[in-house]
Amino acid sequence: MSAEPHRAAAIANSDLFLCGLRVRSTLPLPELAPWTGDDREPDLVIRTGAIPARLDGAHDMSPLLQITPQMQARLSIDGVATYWLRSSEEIIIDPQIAADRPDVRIFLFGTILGLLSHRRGLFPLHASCVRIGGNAVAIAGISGAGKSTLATALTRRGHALLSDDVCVIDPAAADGPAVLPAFPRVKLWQDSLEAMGIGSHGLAANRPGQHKYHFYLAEAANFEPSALPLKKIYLLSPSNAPLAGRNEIEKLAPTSAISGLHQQIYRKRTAAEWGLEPGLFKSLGTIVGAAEIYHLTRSPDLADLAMMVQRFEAHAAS
Amino acid sequence: MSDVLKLTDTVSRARKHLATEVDDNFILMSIEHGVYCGLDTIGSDVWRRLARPTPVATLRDAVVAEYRGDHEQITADILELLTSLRKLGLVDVG
Repeated sequence: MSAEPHRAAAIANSDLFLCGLRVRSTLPLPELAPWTGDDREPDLVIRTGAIPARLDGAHDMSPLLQITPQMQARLSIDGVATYWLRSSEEIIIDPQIAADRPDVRIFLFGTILGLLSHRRGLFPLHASCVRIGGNAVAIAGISGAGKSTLATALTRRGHALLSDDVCVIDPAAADGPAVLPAFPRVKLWQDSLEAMGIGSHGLAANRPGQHKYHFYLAEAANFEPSALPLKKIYLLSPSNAPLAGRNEIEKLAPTSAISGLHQQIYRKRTAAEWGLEPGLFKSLGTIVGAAEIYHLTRSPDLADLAMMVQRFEAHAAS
Repeated sequence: MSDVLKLTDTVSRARKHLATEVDDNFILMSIEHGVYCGLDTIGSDVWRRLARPTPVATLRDAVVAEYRGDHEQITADILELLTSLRKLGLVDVG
């Protein structure tokens, strides 16, 4: 497919693409790729507006997050914005700072995207995801495990990104569990950028003063916009000690795979409050039945990154 | 309540658990204990039969009929399985 029809479509409408949804937004969302699909009505509207202080029938998940039995959610981040997941088709944002600041989008593409996925019957995994050999390969793990660093390093070796940090899986896709691509942007700490020879100059900071930056993959080839079958998931954990003599990558038996992935369901506590946990757990079985699950230990030293990426690439492509 | 299950006890799945299947074998999670538990083929067969309250003797007879193993051994295995599932809060007795 040539780039020209894409450009024409982008001019004809300013709608955007997120996890297969056609998104119409009054808020600038530079992370998202333009919508180039059919001429359907938007699947999701994101707009600025007033948000009630208390949702009807709300229950406090935390001082910041109210949820209701009707699967609405209100997230309030002091000094940034308030977010209202009003339905599966509508998100309202009330920014306390300039609406185009990147901070406003962190929580939209974090917690709110996770809760929207739960509402839409999808399976958000705390993972980054790249295309390797035509399949989706997810790298899951807690914050700080190194998901974004490994995913970005792989894009620099020609593998397209599907998502960073929140990997939205459609467990009921016709041909088996598939990853729905999000957007071509990763969040990286300065040391990871440096290890890959990327300067942080000119990049937007994640939060003011934080040495974590938003890095956009400018080349269209660096982002995969089609849903791809999920074939491998690596549960990443950092090692405190050098890896001498230990296996870097180990295949997990089904029970360990289920328990490992269960702990990486994104915004699982809220999903459980909404009564979704039995269904999510069932979906885990579908995912583990269709994909190989590995445990991956990474070296604490970023100087080992290049070697690790090459070993990972060979393993994931095999 | 005695720790040891008897053939005359009636058992059923506990209400608070999560269950999924991989390759026809069940993997369960006890929400109460935060523990995951994988069942083998026979264990999964027993779990399927626990959808409604069932006497242990009936379960034993069904497994004996299906797998034609040693009667005593199967009885011991089933009592052991159900006892551990009860300890994990996955099975209710009575």
